[in-house]
Amino acid sequence: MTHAPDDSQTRRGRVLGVLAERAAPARPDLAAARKRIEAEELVVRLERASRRPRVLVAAAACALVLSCAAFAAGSYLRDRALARADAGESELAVLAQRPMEAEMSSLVADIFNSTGF
Amino acid sequence: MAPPSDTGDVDLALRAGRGDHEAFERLVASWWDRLGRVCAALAGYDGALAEELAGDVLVRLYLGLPRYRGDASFGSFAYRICRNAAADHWRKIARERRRFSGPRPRQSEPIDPAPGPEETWLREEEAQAIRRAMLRLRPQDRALLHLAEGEGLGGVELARIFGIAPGTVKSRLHRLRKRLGALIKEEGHDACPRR
Repeated sequence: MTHAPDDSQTRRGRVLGVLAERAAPARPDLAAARKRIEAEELVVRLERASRRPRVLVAAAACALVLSCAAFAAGSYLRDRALARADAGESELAVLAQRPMEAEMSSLVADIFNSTGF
Repeated sequence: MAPPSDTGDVDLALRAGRGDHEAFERLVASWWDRLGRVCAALAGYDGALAEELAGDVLVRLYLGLPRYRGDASFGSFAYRICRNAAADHWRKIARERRRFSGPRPRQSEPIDPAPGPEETWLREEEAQAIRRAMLRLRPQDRALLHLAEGEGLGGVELARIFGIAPGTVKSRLHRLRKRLGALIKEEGHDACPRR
């Protein structure tokens, strides 16, 4: 401390020390404490281990969603091409009539519908 | 006045962090009383709660020692663990209280009335007024006052423990001393706080 305590402060310090001393726990039985420590260590390790599978499941779910999206996009393009071929339309003629943005937003909407979002 | 943490403690702590059980036991034996007193202050001098807190501190200390690098004193590291354990504990109690809206889970128990000179002294009006006034402070403020006045820790070490600037420790202690003095007066004893 940067200042010398006065008498009342010194006495108060002693009171605080004794109050704490009286309520302070007895020395721990370290053999018993070690069992608790080991249990806590086990919990920490299990928590770490359980986090790993969660990351893998999340990665697998992402991969699945992306594959579904790619599959849906492929199906969509194939269906459109077949439909246009059936109608005798040329792919280039359709693209020239419709703006690219509308084509893309329709594609995105179909992907989202087919993947359940 | 608590002896400062010397290189022996740092060495023991580093060894304990590497899994040396004997070093851990020696460290606990040498620091337990000091850590126990801080736990008691944080627990509002409730013996049962202090014991629960100290048990938690012991586990946290063991699990946290591998992260100790020896750049701060072992005391700062250990007192910080006490502070964090108490903060978590009070948060848990507050959560439970909100959830159940029941009465306070724990009430401070009166000091064991076993006879003896120390107990007689503690039953004096002033000591009781100080105790009641301390109970009206927040646990973290109680710990700060206890470490400063009861254990005699300096501003720099307190700053490390509480994660604040030394200047802030000084101003907070000044405010706390004034507040404690006022509370002691309210509790019916005319203690003279430092002006």
